[in-house]
Amino acid sequence: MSRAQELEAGFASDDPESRRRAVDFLRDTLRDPHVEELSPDGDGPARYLLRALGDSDWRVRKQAIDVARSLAPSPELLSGLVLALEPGDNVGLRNAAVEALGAFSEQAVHALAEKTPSLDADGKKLVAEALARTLHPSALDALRPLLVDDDPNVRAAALDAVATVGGCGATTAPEAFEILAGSLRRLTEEAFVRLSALDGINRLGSLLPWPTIEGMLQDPVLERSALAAAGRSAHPEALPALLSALARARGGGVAVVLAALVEYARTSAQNPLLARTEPPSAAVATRLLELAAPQNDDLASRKAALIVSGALGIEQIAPVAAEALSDARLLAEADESLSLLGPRAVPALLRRAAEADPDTRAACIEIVTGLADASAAPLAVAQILNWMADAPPVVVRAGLGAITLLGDVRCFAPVSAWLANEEAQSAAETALAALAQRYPDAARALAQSASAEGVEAHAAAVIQTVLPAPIRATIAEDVAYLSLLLSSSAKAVRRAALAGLGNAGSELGTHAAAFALTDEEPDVRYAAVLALSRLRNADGVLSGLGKLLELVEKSADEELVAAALGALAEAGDVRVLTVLRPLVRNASPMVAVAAIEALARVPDARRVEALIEGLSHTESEVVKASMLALGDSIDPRVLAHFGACLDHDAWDVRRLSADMLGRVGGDSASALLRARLATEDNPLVQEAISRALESGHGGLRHTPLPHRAGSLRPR
Amino acid sequence: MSFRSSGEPRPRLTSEEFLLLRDVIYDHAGLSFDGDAMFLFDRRLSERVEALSLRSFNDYYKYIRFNVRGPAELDEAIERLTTKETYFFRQEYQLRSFANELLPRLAARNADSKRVCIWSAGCSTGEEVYTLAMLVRDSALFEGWEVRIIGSDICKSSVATARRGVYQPTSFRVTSDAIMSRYFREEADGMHIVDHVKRLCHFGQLNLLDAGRASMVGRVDAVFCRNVLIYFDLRSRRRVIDTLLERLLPGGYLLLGHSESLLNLSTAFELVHLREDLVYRKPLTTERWDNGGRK
Repeated sequence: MSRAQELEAGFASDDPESRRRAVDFLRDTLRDPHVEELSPDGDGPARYLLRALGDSDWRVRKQAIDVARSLAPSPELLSGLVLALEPGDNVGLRNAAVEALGAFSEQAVHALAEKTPSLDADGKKLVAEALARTLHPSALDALRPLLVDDDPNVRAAALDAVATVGGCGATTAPEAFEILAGSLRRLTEEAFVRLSALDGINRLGSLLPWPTIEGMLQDPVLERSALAAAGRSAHPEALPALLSALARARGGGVAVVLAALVEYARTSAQNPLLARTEPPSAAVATRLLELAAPQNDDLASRKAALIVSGALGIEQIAPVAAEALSDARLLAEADESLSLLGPRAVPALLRRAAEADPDTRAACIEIVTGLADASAAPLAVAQILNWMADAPPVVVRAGLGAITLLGDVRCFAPVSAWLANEEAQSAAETALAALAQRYPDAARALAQSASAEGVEAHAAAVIQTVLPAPIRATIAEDVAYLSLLLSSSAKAVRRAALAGLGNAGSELGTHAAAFALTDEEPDVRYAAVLALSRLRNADGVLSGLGKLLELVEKSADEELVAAALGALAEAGDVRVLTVLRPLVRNASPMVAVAAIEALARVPDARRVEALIEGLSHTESEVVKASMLALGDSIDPRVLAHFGACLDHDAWDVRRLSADMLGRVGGDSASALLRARLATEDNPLVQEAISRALESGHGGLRHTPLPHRAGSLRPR
Repeated sequence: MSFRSSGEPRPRLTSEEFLLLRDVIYDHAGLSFDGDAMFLFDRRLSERVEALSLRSFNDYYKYIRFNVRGPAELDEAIERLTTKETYFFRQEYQLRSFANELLPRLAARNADSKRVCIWSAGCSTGEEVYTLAMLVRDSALFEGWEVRIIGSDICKSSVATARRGVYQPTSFRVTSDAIMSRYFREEADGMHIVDHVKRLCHFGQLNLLDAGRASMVGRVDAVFCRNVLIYFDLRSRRRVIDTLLERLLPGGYLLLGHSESLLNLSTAFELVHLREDLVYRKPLTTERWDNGGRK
């Protein structure tokens, strides 16, 4: 049996599944290069496909649409499909044709436009639908004749299609809006056609002038869509109109008005419009509170009512929203409601926190932290301090976070006590440092009276990390005290003491900070490196330079060496050149990259030679770091070395080299790039070279430096 | 790498595994162990093999070499192999010599700077460091001075213990009641070093072969390096002695364990005869240095 006979038998079957399989067989046949076997005149495949699209069984039609989508449409198929839009009894075929034509996108637009004049109103509506499905900009022109069709239903369908096409890209949206707004302005137009235009504008998210919206609010047909437009407008006069509509709304209208009010609240949150608005009427407030209440089963309207109430400053919403924080479905809207309500939500949040489980209490504290103003803060802080005693870590950390922003002098002692708790230590250090900056006199007094033991010592060290030295009578006394803390058995104290020494900045701390490089805890050793990089003598010279250089030259600890290199780079002292140069070739990529990044910051032209050596490193990350460090060099040797990197084994090095040569620009760079492009087989590198050739025509340095990714330095 | 299931007998160290582990420790820390140490390795490292749920010491070796946590585990292994028991006022005769003869010399020599620094290199859990601080206090020669007693050890946990300064009865084998009452405070968790002694003492983690880190100790007047060199082979011992020499101020003293000497290690030091002990001293001038081609 030939393929044509097989197909014929399948399509003629009474069994829908046999016909569906015949469609599958048709797809396989069409993929076969010997497809002409089906029909000598070439229209065989289209004929079968159209037959399947008009099948009485939906499964066969669906399969046919899938097959049609996978094909490039032939003229025969297109003409058959648009023919199906003519009047006829086969509704299944017409719908399938619309779907298939839409899937052909641009290729179907011309065929549809050509066919339009000969169709009846129903056919034209189908054309509009098919054009909408193409989602192609050219469909807008094809729709224009339908916009002036005698039949208002065709015009409405065309406007709907315009909105769909306009919404699929930034380029089509303005043109679509003009078309829709034009129809909306035509007051002689049928109301339901204008409604299509207005709905289309709403779908596009475009803004209409307030007088236009206001006029439509009186029209019973347009009112609901006009409310949505009003919500988006952010116009001051829109709010009373929306609230009035809320008071009147019944049934499904409530959801429409609430959605518009949410839109209005979110749009207006960026400006003070809401704050200047008069409070809503008691009736509106009551309605919103009822909608937000747990008794309302409609979750969507509860969410909307929470947000709108918060935005309108209805204080009674605060306990409702605070309660809703425990409901995962409403958490986001409750948070938004409370945030919109601002400081007025604080008392309710504190009441809720008092009776809540630890997680909710922590959430309440975090929201209070963001909302409390100067008048609400003292009460909030007092409550939070109470809750922190014997509280689980989640509450303590939230409490310390609140104190960081809201705390006052009362908080020094309790926060200091939390320094002893490992789970809260970091948050306590942050809070204490913030308190010290806000209340320096109290902090200084606390540090001066502190012993060298326990949390007192820890607190004193933290305070000395933020306040200017001297805290005591002299800087020498500060240094002596902090040096003493380096014997503490608590690593956090030693780390803070080193940060304090660094903040004091005196060379008197050099010896103590240097010895801390031998600390058994890595965190403390890094703190020592940082401290050494900040200590200066009276002439402003880095007093720890010798220690850092010694560490870099002799230590086997790669991470510490890399940290020291970073510190040396910060110092920017040219004496580091001689130490850094050999490290560029260090076998450890971490050390080599750190040395390169340090060299890049040394203000001396000799660094270029050292950085060029980095281009020969066996690790590609080191090579890339060198290239990036050389990026701003105007040394002519650099160009040749970048050119050599175009032949590097690693594709990412070649790609970066192309980027760098693109930045350099000029004829020499272009010649190198073109030569490589002739042999380059990696598409990513090819793309980079092409980009570089384009950007390099304009001469030197007009493209940004590539992102410095891939650094191996420890953080 | 394979993992053990519960109920299997604990793994035993084979000769080959011992050699592999011994060499990796030598390469990292310069610590040298002879064949007699196989029992020590087996006993002290088997817990780690089990804790990591490994099947054999060979897996443990691979873990150290190739696992991302390998370096940390190597430190752990070294800690277990080198942690030594010590106690306050160990080798009392030497400490007596130090207190009665060397401290007065240091006090006289440094009278102008009023600074003295003593380094206990390989201090384990800190008993020696605090003992030296107590001797300095008892001498009453350094009131108002800047006194620094530095303790260093390769073992992180030993250093942490030393910093805490809290000790149990095994650390007090020869400590007099007078010392106990003067320098310790009894609390529920043990005997605490009193604050005024603790403040003199500073601790750091040091591999004595890492000259870069050792230089952070600064220059010192005396070094106690007792029963530490035994862990190193000849080449590493020379490097350690070079480091100690470099850290000592001219005229500074080196005190070794009672069975240790610089024979075949260094001629850079001069021998000093005390009444009860022999100690080494870095010459005031460097003319006598003859090791490593230095003059």
